[in-house]
Amino acid sequence: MKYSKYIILFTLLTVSFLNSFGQIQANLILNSNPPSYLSDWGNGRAGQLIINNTGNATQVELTGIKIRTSIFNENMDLVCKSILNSAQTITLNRGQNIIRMDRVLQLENQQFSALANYLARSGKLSPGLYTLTVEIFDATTGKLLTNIIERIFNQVNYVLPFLLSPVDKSWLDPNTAQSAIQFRWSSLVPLSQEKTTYRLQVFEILNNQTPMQALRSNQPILDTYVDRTTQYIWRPNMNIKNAMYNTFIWTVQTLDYKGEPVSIQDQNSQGRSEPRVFGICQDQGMDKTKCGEGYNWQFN
Amino acid sequence: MKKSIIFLLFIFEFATAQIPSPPKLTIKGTAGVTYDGYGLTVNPKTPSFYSPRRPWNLVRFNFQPVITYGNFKMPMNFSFSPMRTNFGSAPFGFGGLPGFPKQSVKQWLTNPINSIGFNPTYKWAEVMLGTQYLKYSDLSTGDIGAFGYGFNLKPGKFRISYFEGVSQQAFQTVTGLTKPDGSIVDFPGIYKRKIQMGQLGIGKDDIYFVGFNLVKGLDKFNSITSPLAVPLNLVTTPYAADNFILSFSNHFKTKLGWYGKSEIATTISDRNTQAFPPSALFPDYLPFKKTNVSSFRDHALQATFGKKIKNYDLGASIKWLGAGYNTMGYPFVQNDRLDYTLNSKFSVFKNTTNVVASLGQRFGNWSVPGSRTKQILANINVFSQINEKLSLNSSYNNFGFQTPGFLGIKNIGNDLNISPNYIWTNTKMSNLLNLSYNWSKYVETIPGPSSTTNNTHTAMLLYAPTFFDKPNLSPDFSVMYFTNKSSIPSTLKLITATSGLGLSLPKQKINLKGQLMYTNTSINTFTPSNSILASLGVDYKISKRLRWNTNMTGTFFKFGDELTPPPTLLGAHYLESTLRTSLQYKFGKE
Repeated sequence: MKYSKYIILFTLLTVSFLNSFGQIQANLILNSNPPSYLSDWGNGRAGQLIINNTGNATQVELTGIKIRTSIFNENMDLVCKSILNSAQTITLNRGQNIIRMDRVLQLENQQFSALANYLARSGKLSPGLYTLTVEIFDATTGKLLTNIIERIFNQVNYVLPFLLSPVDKSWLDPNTAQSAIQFRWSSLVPLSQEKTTYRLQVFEILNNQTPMQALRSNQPILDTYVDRTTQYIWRPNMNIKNAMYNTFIWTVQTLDYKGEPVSIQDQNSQGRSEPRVFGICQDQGMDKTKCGEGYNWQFN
Repeated sequence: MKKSIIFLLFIFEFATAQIPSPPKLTIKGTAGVTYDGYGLTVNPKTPSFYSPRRPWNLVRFNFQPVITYGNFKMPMNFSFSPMRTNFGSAPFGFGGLPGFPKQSVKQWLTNPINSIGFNPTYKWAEVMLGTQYLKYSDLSTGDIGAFGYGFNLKPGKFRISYFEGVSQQAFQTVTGLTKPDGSIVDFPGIYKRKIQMGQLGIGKDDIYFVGFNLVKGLDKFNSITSPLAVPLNLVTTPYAADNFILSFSNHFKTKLGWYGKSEIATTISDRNTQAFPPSALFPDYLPFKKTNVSSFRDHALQATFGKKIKNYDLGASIKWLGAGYNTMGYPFVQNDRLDYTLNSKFSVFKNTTNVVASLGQRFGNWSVPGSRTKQILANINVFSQINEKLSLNSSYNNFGFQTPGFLGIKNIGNDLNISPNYIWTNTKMSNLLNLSYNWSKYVETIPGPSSTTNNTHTAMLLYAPTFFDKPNLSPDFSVMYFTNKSSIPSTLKLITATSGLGLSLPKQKINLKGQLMYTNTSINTFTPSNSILASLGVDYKISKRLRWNTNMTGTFFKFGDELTPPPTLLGAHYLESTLRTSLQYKFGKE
């Protein structure tokens, strides 16, 4: 009996603590391959934090929370950690609350370690495995409301295919090119676990057009989808030998398993690789080292 | 008397020299119209087995007058089309879907198929109005045109240029569009993109330049009224971006044939202009750029150096782009890479042998040494005139792309081409026989058990006679055999027979070119497909200034059983026709 009052006090404290812990239930849904740019995490593809505010009448109503987020690399060295004091207060409604990942991550409130050098240079973390930890606090009392949530994610920085063949600014034989032209490009690196589709597009360069104008404004004469493999034999079946226009620009658009372009820096280019140009050498039997001599690929 | 006559003549000469003849107003240039018509008949109509590959109709107009009055010159450029056929820029092929809004006047003006520009110039001062394609340097801007205004000043050695304009008009988001295959798609919209550029330096046209380039591109966030986001929609509207480039560039060319150029550049980009400012990673760069949490900054450099004289050209170049290097002036450029290339071109053996060769290597993912990709690019092309009758063209290309590690990706290609030409002549005719053989091997290895090898052989024989008594007639005949065997396994075989005829009618000022091509295509064990292509080109010089060029092509293609099932596609066929006609008129004093 000597310790009964301590036991009662401990039990009350435990119940109170568990009550406050139980006031919210948090579920962090994080895509294991979130967008490579951390600043893109707000667009819904990274995931979301779902908080169920299940407070009851006996509890003080929870009106706001603050989140502290940290990112660790695979050696568990700290890459960045948000500052709790200056974290934005997130108002909770009773019931389910969905919080976007950019509000969870709070890039504007992060303190970065030297490991974030790559982020400063490219807007992305260097490739590898990372751990995201999320702590949720009562904005009024500063009390931790849940256990620390940890999620592992894989930072993948894709390198788009390089266009290999026809070699840039090469001139092809007209008789052969009318029947078959082989296009080859390198794979998306690293290989995606899901299906990768390559969309091969070839554009004719019309008169008074630069190659880039042709790519940006014309309908492609070849627009085909190739799954996984990096070669396509195009059978043009068109008049290339005596045509008015004998130069072309081609590119490959890389699409993910949803059919969406793989994200790169300039989103207006929609996951298209750096284009290449080629021409048809019109004169037969001539010195082929002189094909296209004097042709200005910049402005034809 | 003699002295006075000489004196009078001198006075007269002096007086006339002081009164320059009044400048004349001249107008010259070109005007024309080009029409492309396309027709496609497929049988059966459903299910779809062949899609149209050109717009049904495409009309393009060009009018490029240059008005000159003394030192004043005004080149103008009107190249435009009422059609919208964009795939590589907004609206990315969505423009033809039912329910997609029609092109507005502003969108039409900045559509890359249209160029409407004026460049009034007085001595060293030029004003740039309308659509302009400006290339400042290889790392700043050069690929993208913009509609706007600016100036270009060249007083003495100074070079001062500024331009600002819109390179992309806004396109609003559209949801629930139906594609021809019945699938539903959303168009995520494109922001209005404004681009500003400036150049300051010293130089002499075609001799040298040293100076700074500044480029700033900005997506106008408010230009899209309802951005899309997942999961409510199928696609996400990208964030509005911002991009700033500062570069120092130079280039030169000497009388002795030395040439070179180099550039060092830095960029600061915002992935999202609406993100919270400032960046915690690096400071603002005022007055040019304020940063925010989506900002990143990186650098790039490049250099080229070489010598070009009559019989040879030898040069080397290197280019490095950092992981975050990004310029809206070259939106497709791949960053995080290092390339170097050696180029050479020379003639030997009294100019009877010409060689063009290059060797280079490219590293991708350069900033992550453990994951660098490597690519070798090597090619050589040799032409030898062995004797009066025999010449030989040969070329070899090799590229090897690989990622590190035992289970890395490999794409390795080797192409070898040998092409002898033999010409023999008798009293009546000259004959050209050209044999071309090409062997191409491509090995693609990806992690896991898969490694695919493609072996391609192409052989072509061409015969072209020239009749001395009919010099206006130029027939040619060729047969080609193409086979591609893949380890998948699959085999593609093509046999093509072509006959061409050129006819020149000098009196009528008409040149005719026609060809007939038959192709037999076999894929694996399927029944072969057959196709016939016929084309006719007419180049009619109506007058010294007016030229009419027409080209008609028709292709009939009948599939074997490769499209089956369904059985309705057994023997499916299509007829495709293309008509291209262009009328070009040169006006003004030549």
